[in-house]
Amino acid sequence: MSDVDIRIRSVIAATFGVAPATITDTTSSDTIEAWDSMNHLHLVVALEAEFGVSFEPEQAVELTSVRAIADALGAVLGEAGGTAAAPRAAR
Amino acid sequence: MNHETAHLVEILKDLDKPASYLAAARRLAAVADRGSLVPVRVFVLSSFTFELVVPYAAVECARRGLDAVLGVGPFGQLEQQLLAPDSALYAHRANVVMLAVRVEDLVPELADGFVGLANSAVDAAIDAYVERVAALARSVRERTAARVLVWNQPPLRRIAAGLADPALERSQQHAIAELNYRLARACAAIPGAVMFDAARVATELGTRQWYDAKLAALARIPFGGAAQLAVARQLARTLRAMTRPPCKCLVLDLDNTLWGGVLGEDGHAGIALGEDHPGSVYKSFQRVLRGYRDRGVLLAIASKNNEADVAELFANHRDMVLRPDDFAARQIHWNDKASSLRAIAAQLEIGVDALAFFDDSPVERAWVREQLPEVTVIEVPVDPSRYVDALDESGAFDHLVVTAEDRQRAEQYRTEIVRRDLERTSGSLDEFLRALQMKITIGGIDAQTMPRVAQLLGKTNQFNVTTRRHTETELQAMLDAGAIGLWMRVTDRYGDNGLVGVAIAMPERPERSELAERPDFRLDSFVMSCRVLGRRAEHALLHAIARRARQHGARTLLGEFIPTKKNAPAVGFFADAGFARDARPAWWRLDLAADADRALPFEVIEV
Repeated sequence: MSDVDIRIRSVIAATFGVAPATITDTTSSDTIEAWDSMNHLHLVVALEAEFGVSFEPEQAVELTSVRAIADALGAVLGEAGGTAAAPRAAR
Repeated sequence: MNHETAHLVEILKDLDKPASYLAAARRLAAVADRGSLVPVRVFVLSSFTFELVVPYAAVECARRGLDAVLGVGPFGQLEQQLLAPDSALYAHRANVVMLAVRVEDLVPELADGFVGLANSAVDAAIDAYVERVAALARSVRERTAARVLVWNQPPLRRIAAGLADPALERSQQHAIAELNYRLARACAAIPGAVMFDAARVATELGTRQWYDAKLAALARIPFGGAAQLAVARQLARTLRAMTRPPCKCLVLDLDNTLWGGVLGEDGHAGIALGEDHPGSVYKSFQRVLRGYRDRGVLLAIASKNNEADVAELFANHRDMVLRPDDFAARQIHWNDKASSLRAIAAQLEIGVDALAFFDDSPVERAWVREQLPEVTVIEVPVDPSRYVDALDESGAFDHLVVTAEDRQRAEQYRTEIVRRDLERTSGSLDEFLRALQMKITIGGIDAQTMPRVAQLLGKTNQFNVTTRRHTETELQAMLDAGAIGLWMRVTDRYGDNGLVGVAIAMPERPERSELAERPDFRLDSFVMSCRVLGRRAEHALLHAIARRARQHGARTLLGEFIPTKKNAPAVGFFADAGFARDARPAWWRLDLAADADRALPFEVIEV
C-alpha cells in the first residue's frame, strides 16, 4: 500500500470513527454507517488539509469511496508534481 | 493526576489537522466521566449551516476545561425557533444561545447589490439588520435563561465596486464597519448579551482562507476548514470567559522566557535582551507583560536561579522592561516549581486555580500540570516570537467586560503591599484600621452597579458564605421578588478599592400565615473581595442589611454557611457577627431585636 493510500485510510478512520484495519479498497459510503452528508463534508475538508489540495465541487461530491478518493488525489497530486508533494501545514 | 484527567490529556494531545480533531471529538464524546470539565450547553441559531464547527468546538472547549454540548438549529430558522415552544432551542436547555446571522442572508443588498444603493437604502438596510438581530437577542433573553452571544459581520467575500470602493462617498467596507458598530451598541443595551467578534477571527485568517466557494455551493457553509477551526477556538475562548472566572496571576519563568539564554551560565552580558534580534523578541514580550500588569493581572516569578544574580540583573540591565515592583510575588530558588506556585498563591491570598503558568520548559509545565491540575498551564511554543500569541490565545485572562475596577486593580495591589507594611508597624488592629482612614459606602443594587455585583458574586471564592454564582438576570428576579440587595464600596488613605462587597437577603416565607406581612430574611449571598479582608468591613455590610431587614418588620436574619475548598476565611463570620447556631446544621440566626450597633473603626455612609 502506498503512503497516499495509508494516509487516505487514516483520514477516513478518523472522520468516521472506524478502525483503519477494517478499511479496504471497496470501502465506501455504502459500507460505513457514519458516512452521512455532513460527515462527507468533514471528510472533504480533512482530505484537503491532509494532502494540501483543493477539490472542485463536482469532485467533492464524488469522493464517496476509497477508490474514488485515491483516483481523484492521483489526478490532483499528479498535476501538482507527483505524490511527493508536501502537504500544506494545517493550522 | 487522576486517571480521568490523564485520559483527557491523552485525547487532547497532538491536535493539528482536521482529521485529528474529528478523531479527538469522537473519543471525547465517548468519555463517560468528564467531571473535571465545567459543563456548558450552547445552542446556535444561524442563517447558514453551522454544524461543521461542532466537533472542532467540542475539542477546543475541552482544551480550555469546558464540557460543551452544542446544539444547532435548522439554518435560516431564527424567529421560528424562538416562537415555537416545542423547538429544538428550548429542548436543548442552553446556558448560551449564539446568534450567527450574516448580512448576505438577511440584507443581501448590502453585499453584491451595493453599488446600486442610494445612501438612504444603505441606512435602511443597516437599520433592518441591527433591529432584527437585536430583537432576536432580546427575545432570547426574554424567553430563556441563557445568555446570548451575537456574531458580528466578517469582511465580505467580494467588494462590489472593487478598487473604487475606498473612494466611494459611502464605501461598502465602511458600511459594514458601521453596521458592526451599531450592532455592538445595540447589544450593549441588552443585559446578558455578549459580542462574538467573527469579524476579527476572519481578519486574522484572511478572507481568502475564511470563505470556501465549494462548501458554500454544496451546503451553504460560508467558511472553509481553517475558518471552522478558528471559529471554534474563538468560541471556546469566549465560552471560557463566560463560564469561568479569569486567572488573576501570571506566574513567569525567567531564563528563556523573559530573556534568551541562561543567566547563571551566560551571565548578565551574555543573555539575549535588547533592541536587536534575538534580544528584541524578549524585550517586546516584556512590554506585552507590562500591558497585562496594567490591565490588572498580577505578575509573579517562579524561577530556578540564584536570587542575587536576578537582583543584580533587575538593578543594572538597561533593557529590562519589567521592574522588581511589577511583580507581586517572587519565588527564586532551586526548589520545585509546584511548591513555588503554592507559595505564590498563599502569599497573594488567591486560589491556586487563579494562577496561570508560563514556562518555556516542557518538563516544568508537565510537572506543574501533574502536581497542580487546577493551574492553567499555558502551552508555550518553541519560537519565542510566538510567546505573545500563546499568552493571548490561552484566554487565561480574558474578560468580556472591562470594568473600572479592573483598570484600578494593579494599583490597588501595590497599595495593599504598602498597607501591609503599615500593618506590621501599627499596634492593635483597630488602631491600624483607624490609621487607614477607611470610608465605607453602602447602597442598594441598581442597574448601574449590577454588572460589578454579578462579577463579584461570580469570582469571589474566599470570603463567600454560600458561593452562589447569580447572573444579572437571576439577581434582578430576586430583587423583583422582594430581596434586599446591597453593595459596599471601600476607600482609604491609599485609594479607592471600588465595589468590594455584596449582600443579598431573601424574604423567608413564614410558617404561620398571619406573619406573612412580616417575613424573616435569609442571607442568600454575602461576599467580600479579598482586597479588603481582615479590615472588619464585612461588619458594616452585615449591619446595613440587618437594619434593612428590621425595617421590613423581620425579627430574624438567617445565615447559611456552605463550606468549599476555598472559603475558610469566612468560616467564623457568623459567630463573629453575633449570630447564634440554628437548629439546622450549617444555619445561623441573628435576633434582630437584640442586635445593637457596634463601634466600628471607620465611617459608614448609607446611600
